[in-house]
Amino acid sequence: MSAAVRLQGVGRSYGPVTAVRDVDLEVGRGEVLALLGPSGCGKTTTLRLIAGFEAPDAGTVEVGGRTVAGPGINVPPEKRRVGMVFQDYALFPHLTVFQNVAYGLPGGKKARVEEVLALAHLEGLGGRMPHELSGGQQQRVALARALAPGPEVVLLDEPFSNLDAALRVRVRAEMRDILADAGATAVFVTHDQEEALSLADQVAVMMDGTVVQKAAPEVLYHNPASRRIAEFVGEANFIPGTHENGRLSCVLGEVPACGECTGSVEAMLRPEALRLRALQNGGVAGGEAGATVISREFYGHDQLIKLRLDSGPVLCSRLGGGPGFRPGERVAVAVSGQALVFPKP
Amino acid sequence: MAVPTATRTEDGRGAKPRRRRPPLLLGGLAGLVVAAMALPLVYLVVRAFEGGWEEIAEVVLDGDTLAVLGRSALLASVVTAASVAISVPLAWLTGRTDLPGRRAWAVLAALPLVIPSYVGGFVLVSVLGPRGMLQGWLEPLGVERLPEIYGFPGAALALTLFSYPYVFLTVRGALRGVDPAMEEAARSLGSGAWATFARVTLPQLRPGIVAGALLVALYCLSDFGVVSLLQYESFSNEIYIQYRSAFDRTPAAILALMLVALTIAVLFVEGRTRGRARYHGNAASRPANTVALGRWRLPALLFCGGVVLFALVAPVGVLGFWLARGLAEGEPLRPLWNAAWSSIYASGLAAAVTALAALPVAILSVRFRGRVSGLVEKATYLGYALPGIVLALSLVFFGANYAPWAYQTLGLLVFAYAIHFLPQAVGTTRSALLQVRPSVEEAARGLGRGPARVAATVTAPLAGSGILAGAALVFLTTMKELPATLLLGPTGFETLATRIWGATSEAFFARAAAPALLLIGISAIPLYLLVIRERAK
Repeated sequence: MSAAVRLQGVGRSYGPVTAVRDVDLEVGRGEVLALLGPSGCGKTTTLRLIAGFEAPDAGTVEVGGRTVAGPGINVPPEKRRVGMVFQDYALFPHLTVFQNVAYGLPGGKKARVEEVLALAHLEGLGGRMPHELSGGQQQRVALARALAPGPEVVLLDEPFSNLDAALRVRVRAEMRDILADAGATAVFVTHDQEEALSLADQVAVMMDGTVVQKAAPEVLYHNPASRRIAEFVGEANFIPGTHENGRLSCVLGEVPACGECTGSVEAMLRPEALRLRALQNGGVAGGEAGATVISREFYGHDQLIKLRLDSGPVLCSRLGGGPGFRPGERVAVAVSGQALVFPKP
Repeated sequence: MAVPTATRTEDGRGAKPRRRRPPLLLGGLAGLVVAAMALPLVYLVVRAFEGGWEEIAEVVLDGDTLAVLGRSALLASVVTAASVAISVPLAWLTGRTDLPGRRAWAVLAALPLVIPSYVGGFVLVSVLGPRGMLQGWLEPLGVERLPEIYGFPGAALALTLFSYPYVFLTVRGALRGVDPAMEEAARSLGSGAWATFARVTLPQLRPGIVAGALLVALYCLSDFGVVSLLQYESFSNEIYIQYRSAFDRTPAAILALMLVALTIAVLFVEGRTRGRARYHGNAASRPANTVALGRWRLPALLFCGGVVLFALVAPVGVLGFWLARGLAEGEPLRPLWNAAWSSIYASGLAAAVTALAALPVAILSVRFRGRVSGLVEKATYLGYALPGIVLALSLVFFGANYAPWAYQTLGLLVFAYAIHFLPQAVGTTRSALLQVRPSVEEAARGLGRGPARVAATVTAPLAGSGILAGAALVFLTTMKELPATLLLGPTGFETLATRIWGATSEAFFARAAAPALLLIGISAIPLYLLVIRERAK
């Protein structure tokens, strides 16, 4: 199966500023890929390089097995067969919903428009003007418009950033379903790790203009390639220790660990790998460490407890939504799960 | 820029219109302004109906009258169409392409606005007219006669060359408001660059085009100087002739009302073209990509160069030529300072009065939105519907009959200016106030400041530059104003405009050159300030 989109050694600079360098990326057909990274990491530029709104200085871009950008080649956006959903949707304000969706169809085939409108759950709204729709509806029109010509890939630039938090979760699920129903390949840009992990089949993390890791969401979460990625994707605790043969010895005792480096290391423990037990009068058991609760953030479905180990380090623990611990309370901390080790910075 | 931009969103961002009752003082002041606005029109109606329906029918249904009305409408449509045809490519080339020096071209293309159209008209006559400069040059080559410049072609050419910047500026403003993502969306949906422009960009520009075209059409209908100089029998000089020649002034009043009806018809048509679309003046999130002109670069440069040459360089050059020739032939360079001072003084007064009068109306319509305040705002646009000559005529009648103490005073002239140019000031003041979010004012109130202190320390600094821009615009247009100044100026009152008019109507081009150049120079200052302000945004 050939890739829907393939980037090889792609670079783009603006004068002295390098926006994107040496990007290699492959998106399989029917796959949803998230480009995740902090702002300014080059993810939007990468998207625009695929769409053809920017031309690469180096490397090649392939869409649907055809080279669209590379040395001596630069296919204009309108000939690339890519659909784009813009951050602010960029719906044509002078056209109705129907006309917006029909825009990319030569001859404006009515049946196809109806089909795509139905796919995006927009039946009956074809006669409306864009400003007469809610934010979520506008988003679906933008997606329908991009899908209508049957592009090789749909590119979405921060697609949920214009929606309020309550709407965002619902729209995200709707969009996931629409893309799946259409069998479309999609690449979307986001800085929100939760969005990337929950929506994408594959997540490519970009930092400083290049892709630092591409993996399935669960792999990325549990096996980040570097400390920086670990910190960016979800919360992480870091404690120093010694790693030998899959065993880490640290302030929390002996912990199973994985990772390449041995000897003196930095170990990552996700907050949910830390178990807490209230310390009444008894002492700390083996494999536990004493700590004091500093603060508590309650989210309903879970809660985050910040605590200070007696030996100094501050850690985070994620617990279920049951009764929690109050600041100042004494607790015993144990590890249930695996640590991931990185070389000492 | 200063011309009302149609692309601005009407609602203050996120601000709900509040249905509070406006303070009595504010309402009273706005009411007073509206009453003043209505005065000339009401009096005109009263005057026109003095002779009863019979006389009205006689004047209105006269074949000649209808023919002249048709000629005015023809001139306005042709000039408007030509202005749009020049301005849209000009705005696009200077706004969205890699045209070399596009910023400079944009400023140069807007500058003809400072050349009063009657000055342009006399330049045209002096160059292209019989025994004019061009014929002088061509005579040795055996050219005896040039194509006729008088009449329709000359009037249309002069009006187009010196009023197209209205469209250029509004279209340029609209183009800035077009979200480049919209064009990119069209590209990724398979449209090429040209198709994208035609199907997506151009429709977005429509409000800007219509707003500018409206200004040009109204300007043409009200123009008096150009049509008189180029001897095109249009409605406004028909009114002037009727007023000058006949003792009975009722027919002039009836003709004036007909012209008002025509301008209201134009305003009505504009209102109907808005359609269902809603346009947002989103500040573009990222700068638009420039279109590479490639082999079209040279034709594009020639086009911009041609427009600037004919509308700016040539007129100023010809004026310079006449000035030099006049000086060489010992033409007494009568001191201009009195006339210049009168121009500046009267225009400055008009600018101040108009900006002040616009304030209560603008505050009312922005902060106390509702039916009544909407009507009040609409009423001020009556100024657009009253051509200068009509307004002046009505005030002449009124002053002579009911206010002899005001007749032939500077006060009445400034009053006329203020009524005439109030829409401009209301427009800019309104949009300046719209940009001050009510929540900012409320925050200041919450910090313990009274309404007056808030207005002085928060609203005024934020909206101040917009209000000043309105005043600058009024100053600029008052400097150029001719018919009202001619009819209402106190005896012996001479401005640069009347000085130019006096000299050109007798074909003393050399004598008109110096005041014309001075007028252009002085008008360029507020325009420059307006451009600076736009750039600072």
